[in-house]
Amino acid sequence: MHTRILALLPLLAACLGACSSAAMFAADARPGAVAAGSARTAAGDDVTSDRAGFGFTDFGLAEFEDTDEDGLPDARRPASGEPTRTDRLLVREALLGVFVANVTQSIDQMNAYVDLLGGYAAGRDDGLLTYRVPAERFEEAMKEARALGRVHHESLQVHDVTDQHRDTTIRLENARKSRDRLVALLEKADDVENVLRIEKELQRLTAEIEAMEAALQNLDLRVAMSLLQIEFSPLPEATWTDGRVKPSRFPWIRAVGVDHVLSRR
Amino acid sequence: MSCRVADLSLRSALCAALVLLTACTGFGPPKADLPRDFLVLDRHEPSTFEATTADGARFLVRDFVDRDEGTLAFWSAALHDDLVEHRGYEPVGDAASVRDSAGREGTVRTYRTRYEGVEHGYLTGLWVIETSGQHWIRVAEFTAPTEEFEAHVATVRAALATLQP
Repeated sequence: MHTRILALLPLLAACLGACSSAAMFAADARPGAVAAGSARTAAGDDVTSDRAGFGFTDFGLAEFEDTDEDGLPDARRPASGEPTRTDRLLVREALLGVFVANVTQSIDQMNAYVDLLGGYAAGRDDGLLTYRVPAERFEEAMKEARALGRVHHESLQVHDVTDQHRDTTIRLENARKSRDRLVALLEKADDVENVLRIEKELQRLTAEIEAMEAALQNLDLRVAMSLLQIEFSPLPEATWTDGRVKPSRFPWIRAVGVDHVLSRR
Repeated sequence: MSCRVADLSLRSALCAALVLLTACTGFGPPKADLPRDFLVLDRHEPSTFEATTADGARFLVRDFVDRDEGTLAFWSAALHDDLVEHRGYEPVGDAASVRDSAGREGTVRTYRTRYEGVEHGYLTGLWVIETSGQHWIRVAEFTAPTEEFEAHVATVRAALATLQP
């Protein structure tokens, strides 16, 4: 009996080793941690955009929406079969640069609106604000941010994490089964040496399971709550008189404006 | 010295021409009813009405001859485009319709911008006026630092409805 248990341990260890790579998915959801570059749609296309003024539906993302009635993604779909276009799990991350007349007021307005949408402020680094908003209301939040001023930069990345989520889920299920088998072995083990070896393996396995659970939670959060980063900057004092912009072709338009009114004596 | 005399003569001639034009067309210098916290400034400019508050808010109405004979919609869009796209003004709300004392329809818009490092509010009222075959663009402007602007903007909006002739 002891011999059989001991012979099984290396096999179990080999299986469990395969699970360990899943721990790498526990990375933080910070935008900097996201590979700058490609994200795949269901069709396998790269989805990265960096331009001003595009519409969210440019990517046909409505087709990829994957939410339950409560608006949260269903991360526990059957592993069998390829996910359909509507089954894809997408992480959306946007960066907006907006010129506004009053930065403080704009931040207050955006905070209130994100709160209204069911999101929250996730951080602030100098002028860069980070928000999490429910994925199904992401576009509304973008529109509101754009409406606060003049957009000078806009970029959007969409990451398809369906495969990553499925792989981690499978590894997690396997790890749990392995842990159950180890527990069963532990109950049958009758000498101290075997008990110690099994317990050590159980400890390692439990740590890996916890890491995979955290990684899945992280993925679920990133899918359910889109990332919106906004940088509000004061409006530049650009008038046609400073040579940076083209003056109007109509003389009377060139003669009006705050600077003309206030410079009258 | 002779240049100065010539300049004065030219100004006098222009003023006389405007007075004559006013007499012919019945279209005189702009005026508006403002509350007592506005002081109307006498600029001796026939096509201009100017007033100020003690805290520095400025209200200015000017008439420009429009030889191009554009419509209100065209000039309103052209001014808005220039302010927003070329000068970085931030629109506050949408354009609204306004009527002067003669019932002529105009448009009013509000913006935010920065001037000498300070955030300012800026209101424009615009009318296209045709009288005796002559086309005019009447532009009313009101501006002040944001706090003062907010304090007076309702009064100024009301004053736009009293603009005459």
